[in-house]
Amino acid sequence: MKALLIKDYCILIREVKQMLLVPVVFTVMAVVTKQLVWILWPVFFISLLPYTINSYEEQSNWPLYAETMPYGRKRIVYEKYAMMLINGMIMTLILSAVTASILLLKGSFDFAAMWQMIVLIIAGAILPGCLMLPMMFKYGNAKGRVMYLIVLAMFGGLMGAMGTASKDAKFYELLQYGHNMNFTVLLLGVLIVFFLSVRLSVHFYEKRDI
Amino acid sequence: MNAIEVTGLTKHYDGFSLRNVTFSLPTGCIIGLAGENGAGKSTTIRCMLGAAMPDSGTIKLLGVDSTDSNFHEIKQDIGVVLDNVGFPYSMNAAQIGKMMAETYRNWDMPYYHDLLKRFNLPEKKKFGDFSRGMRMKLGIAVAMAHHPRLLILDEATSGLDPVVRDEVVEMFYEFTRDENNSVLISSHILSDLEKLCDYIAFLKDGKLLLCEEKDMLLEQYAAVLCTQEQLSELGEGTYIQCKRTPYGVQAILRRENVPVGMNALPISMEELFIAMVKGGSEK
Repeated sequence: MKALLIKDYCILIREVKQMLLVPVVFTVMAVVTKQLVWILWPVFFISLLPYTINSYEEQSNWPLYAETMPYGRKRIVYEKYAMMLINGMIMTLILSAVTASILLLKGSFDFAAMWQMIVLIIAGAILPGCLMLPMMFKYGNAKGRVMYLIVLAMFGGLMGAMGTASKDAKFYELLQYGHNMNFTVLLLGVLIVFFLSVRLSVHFYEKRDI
Repeated sequence: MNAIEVTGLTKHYDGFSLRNVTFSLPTGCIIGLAGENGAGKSTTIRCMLGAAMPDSGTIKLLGVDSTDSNFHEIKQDIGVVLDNVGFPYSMNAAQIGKMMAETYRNWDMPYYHDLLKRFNLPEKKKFGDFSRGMRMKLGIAVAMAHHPRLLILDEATSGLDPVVRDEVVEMFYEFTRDENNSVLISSHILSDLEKLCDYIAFLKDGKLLLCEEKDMLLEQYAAVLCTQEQLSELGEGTYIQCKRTPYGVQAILRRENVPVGMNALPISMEELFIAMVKGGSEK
């Protein structure tokens, strides 16, 4: 798995480094505008990185070449999810710090709101990838792009709705309404989706001709 | 023990089928897989590596069945060079070396660097900026640097200039001096196969025409130069190909079918291959 992670981070640094500015810009916007809704964009963006990297791999014929090496399909799938988790953890740490700073600046810091935001960040960092990776492993990037577009549209719609709502009631206030919602259950739900997605991806990839 | 055992391998695609391919390679030997474009060489190799799932048949590499759940582990002992070497474009040779050191238990970094020098490959240049020949050379360096017991080479010498190709062919030859090492090589360059191989397998339209020991094969077939009348006396079923030359008619046939008194000339692997693939009469 370490070998595959070395490969992915080499590709990430070389090919996607300019794109890594996008989450930085959104994070800065969140701080400047004190609108927490901006925070979910970089999370979503980071969640798509394994998919983006896979498209570079397919261009270079890597999926076939990987079959010549002692990785096994299961490990290839696990590595993509591991990368998603690592990126998600890094983003969660950074954005939690940003969220805490914004809430402190606004003088409205409370642990419940903070916990909700962390769960939302984790969900944002994991769920889009979990929806897209099984299709990617089944059909490859080109054919699996339909799911990419669906997820993008879903997320865009969600963000649009949240953006509109936050004009009247600031996003952190929206979170207050979520007090009735059990965010721990939401987190468990996200984890269940994650494990189901991994299993589905392994199932699809092990049956695919490359 | 056989290094490769392929039995009844069948794989259907839209417009192409690999049908009932059976061959084996004893440890310590080299087998050449020859065939036209689209004959099924790469499909056979893909099935052997587990990249494509066979519809039926069995495959064993170094004694391990491809249906075994730990089949991928045997690839620790297999080096592969495919026609289209597929390392990520953004990685350089040094990074690929680091990655392979984490991939193969027997990765020999000094030997890898030695091969990079021998092939004149820059360590810091992106793989995507390599020429086709450079990519093939890097593929060969990676395939050799973990000291495999079995090499699988799909058109590995194509794109190489004649000097490097000769060096690479010599390297493969040296590799099989160790009696535990074996090679499967598919190539259009039949002179390479003739130089290297102990066994030759001919594929045509997804079917295995033959798989024989090279020396035996070259002994079994011969060319005769004769007149049209003599050819007619031979009968159509006796030769596999005939063509007119300025000096008469040249027919390729099995030695046992050469009439007494007619001079049987030795033929090259390329002549035999073309005769088998094209067959019939050439006017």
